[in-house]
Amino acid sequence: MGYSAKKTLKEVSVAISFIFIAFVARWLDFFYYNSPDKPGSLIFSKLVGSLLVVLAVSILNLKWGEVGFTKKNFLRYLYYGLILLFVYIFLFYFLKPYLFYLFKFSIPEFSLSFSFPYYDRNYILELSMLTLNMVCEEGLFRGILQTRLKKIVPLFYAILIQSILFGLWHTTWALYNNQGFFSFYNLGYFLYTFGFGMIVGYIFEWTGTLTIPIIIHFFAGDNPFSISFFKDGAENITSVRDGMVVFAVSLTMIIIFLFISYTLLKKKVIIKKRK
Amino acid sequence: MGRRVSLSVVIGISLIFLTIIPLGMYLGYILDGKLNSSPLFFIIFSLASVILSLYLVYKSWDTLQRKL
Repeated sequence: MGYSAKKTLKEVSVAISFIFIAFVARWLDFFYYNSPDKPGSLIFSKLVGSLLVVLAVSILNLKWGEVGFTKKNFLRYLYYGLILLFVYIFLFYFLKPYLFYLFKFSIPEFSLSFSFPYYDRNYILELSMLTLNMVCEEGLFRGILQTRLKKIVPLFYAILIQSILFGLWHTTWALYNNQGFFSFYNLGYFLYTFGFGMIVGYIFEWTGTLTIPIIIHFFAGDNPFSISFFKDGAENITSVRDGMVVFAVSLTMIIIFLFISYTLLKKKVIIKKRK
Repeated sequence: MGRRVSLSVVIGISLIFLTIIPLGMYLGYILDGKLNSSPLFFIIFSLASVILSLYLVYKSWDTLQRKL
């Protein structure tokens, strides 16, 4: 076994253990402080996660550019990121629920709602929590774990492992809402976050920076402005058939979104391959 | 070291972390609920399980290296 592989395996185990330490802080935040109901929800665990990212970068002797936090081509990726953000919102907030309702033989009632930020203490705390969340989640899963994994493991498996852990990371919401680990709610949420991890992992791989993942994660994944197009809001899964429908529709949306982002970023990919 | 071998090693590492750390967390969570202590046991058990899993990973890594 080569020296570099041994070193990278050490880095991988450090990255996964740091994710679990952040998960412990997340559990503490959820089930001891009940912070989703309090102002600045989950801010403690996000702070711990961000500090762990900084710690990991310093003890593994990484550069910030390697981890994805760079200004390189910032404006260009901002432009592409905003385009992809609108595509994402259209696909996952409009088309996916619409198709879900159609497959349930019901006609959805349209009502566009968009809450504009009101500047009180609670909202500012929540926005700062979401900002820390970008450093914490994107940094831990994409920035550190995925870049370490892809050195020793085929790329697809690196993104797969990263997104499975990302999906498991979000199952605490189902437990917090008293839905149970093996519930349809948890299944739907796990699939959604797993697919999000796959999408964002591939985009990070193609562009090499976390600019587009952060834009999509902040505005669409966490939805701080609570955008919705339908009166009923999120689709609720109550039977196996619904679960299958959601699975099929989400898979289609993920493939469409990956295809669109690949065609949009194709130029960049070719440039990267030539290097 | 082939990429397939390292894939199985990585899966093993993640499985060690995935089983041991949540187990320790859950144990601490249950003890806290029974003894009505604030997150004391949860923190102790989860930190202990993190250390235990890291120790197990490095121990198994050593064994693997000696065998190969």
